Amino acid sequence: MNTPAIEIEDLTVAYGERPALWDIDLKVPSGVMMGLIGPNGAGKSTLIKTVMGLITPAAGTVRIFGKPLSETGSRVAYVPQRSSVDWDFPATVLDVALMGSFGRLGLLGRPKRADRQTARDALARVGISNLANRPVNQLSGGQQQRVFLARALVQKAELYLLDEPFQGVDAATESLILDLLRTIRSEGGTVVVVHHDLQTVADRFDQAALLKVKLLASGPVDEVMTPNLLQKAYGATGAELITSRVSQP
Amino acid sequence: MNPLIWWEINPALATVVLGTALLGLATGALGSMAVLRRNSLMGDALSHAAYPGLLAGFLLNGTKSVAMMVIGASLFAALAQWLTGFLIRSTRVRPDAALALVMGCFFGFGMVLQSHLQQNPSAAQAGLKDYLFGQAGLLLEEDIALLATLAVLVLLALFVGWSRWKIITFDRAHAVSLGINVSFWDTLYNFLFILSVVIGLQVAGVVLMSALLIMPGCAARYWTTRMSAMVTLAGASGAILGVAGTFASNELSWPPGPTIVLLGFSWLILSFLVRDFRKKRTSYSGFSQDTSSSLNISGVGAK
Repeated sequence: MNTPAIEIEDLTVAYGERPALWDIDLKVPSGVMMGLIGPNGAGKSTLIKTVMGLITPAAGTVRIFGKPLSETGSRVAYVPQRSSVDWDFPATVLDVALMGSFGRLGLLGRPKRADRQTARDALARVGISNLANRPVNQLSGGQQQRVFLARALVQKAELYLLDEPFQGVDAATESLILDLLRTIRSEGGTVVVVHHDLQTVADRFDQAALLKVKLLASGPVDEVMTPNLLQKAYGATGAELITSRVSQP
Repeated sequence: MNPLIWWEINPALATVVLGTALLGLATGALGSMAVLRRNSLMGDALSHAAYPGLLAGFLLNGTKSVAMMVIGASLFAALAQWLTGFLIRSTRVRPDAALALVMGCFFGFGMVLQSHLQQNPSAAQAGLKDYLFGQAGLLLEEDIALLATLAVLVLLALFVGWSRWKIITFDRAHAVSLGINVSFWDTLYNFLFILSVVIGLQVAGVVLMSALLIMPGCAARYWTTRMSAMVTLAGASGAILGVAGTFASNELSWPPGPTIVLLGFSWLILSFLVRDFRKKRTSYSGFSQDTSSSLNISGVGAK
């Protein structure tokens, strides 16, 4: 079997005294599209932030394509939550997309003509070529999310980690993001998405990991999204949500 | 007109003009970064915290030596910055309270040191009190060398690290994910920030230093939509404000530091009236941010 895209062993993360993640062992196979699900405060964002090296774990190891993160360079693209940055920042849409090219640039980090073209192509793929010169403080939520995706595409990564990309975006953006992520997977990329909406998990992902500080289950969607496991994570309501869905033809 | 001729006509004024221009350039450019990083208040805290260090430098040396005073002030400012970060990380004190606490405490210590020093006649003569409100009028040619060094350092750091500064300022987490050594660039930024505050104290004084840092950046944001333009405009307008303020203070017999600050404030009001009052900006940037990431002190907001 191929080297897994992400291999997490015995991972524990704590904020002060309170554990945010407890003894996680998780393998994300290469080439899958995985949804990371769980109730609020389950540690979903914390998990991908730890994988990205933004949070130092109390214990455990994370390997990406078999290597520690420090050796993976720009093979991993991180798409944070839209609200994690201040969008009243003096930059154009193209400027932000270009930030994704940093790993390929020289010592001074000045983008070249080819990098600009890559950034323009990425903007075209997310359907906002016409906004290239627009200041980022004049974007809607959906457009902001598209800019973040374009920035990740410019990076030409093999593993994409997205934190709630469907949060608060319009329907058109939602389906565009989904198509894009599927294209990435079909081209051999691996996609991990922090996801909130239980109803859509089965449609959107082929693998799922169910988290509630501990990892409750991971694997193919139909093995993870069982009433039993969902009840463990969400209590009775979550289980009902999914059962009503499964009973439909 | 050849500026060198003018230098011969009024060398004292020329020195002050050059000094305030250099300081305006450095603090304007660096201060616009502070505005974007949302740690504008740090300038105020550091200038207050540097004051006792300045006096301690004098006390150790016994005479007014610029080098000793700059070193003393830098050490105290760095200590204040570390202490602020420590309070935020390790106690329940919130970022804004931590800044206010550290600023007040250090400045109080400064006042005690000052009253102690005033009993010593040589200290009273050295005009240490001038550092509270600035004494740009007394800039000497050796101060120019110091200010020029500061300006060169700031511009060089901005130029060399430009793409990194930009990515870190916009999205710290993304910068980390790209493998940028964020803590190195944060340290460099803090170092330059402390250096400009400490060197600028002599011109602007403890109280007005932060205005010099922040105003050009705030005004520049109204005129630009790209970070490069904003930092350039802030640096250039900082220098122009320094020159214009010095001339105005010479004409009106006002003290130079406050004159520069008042002129800068007029520039800020003008920018607001022309750019914002006329057309209401359409901005979707109403995201709430928690205070730790808003103040963003020494990378504390990194997570």
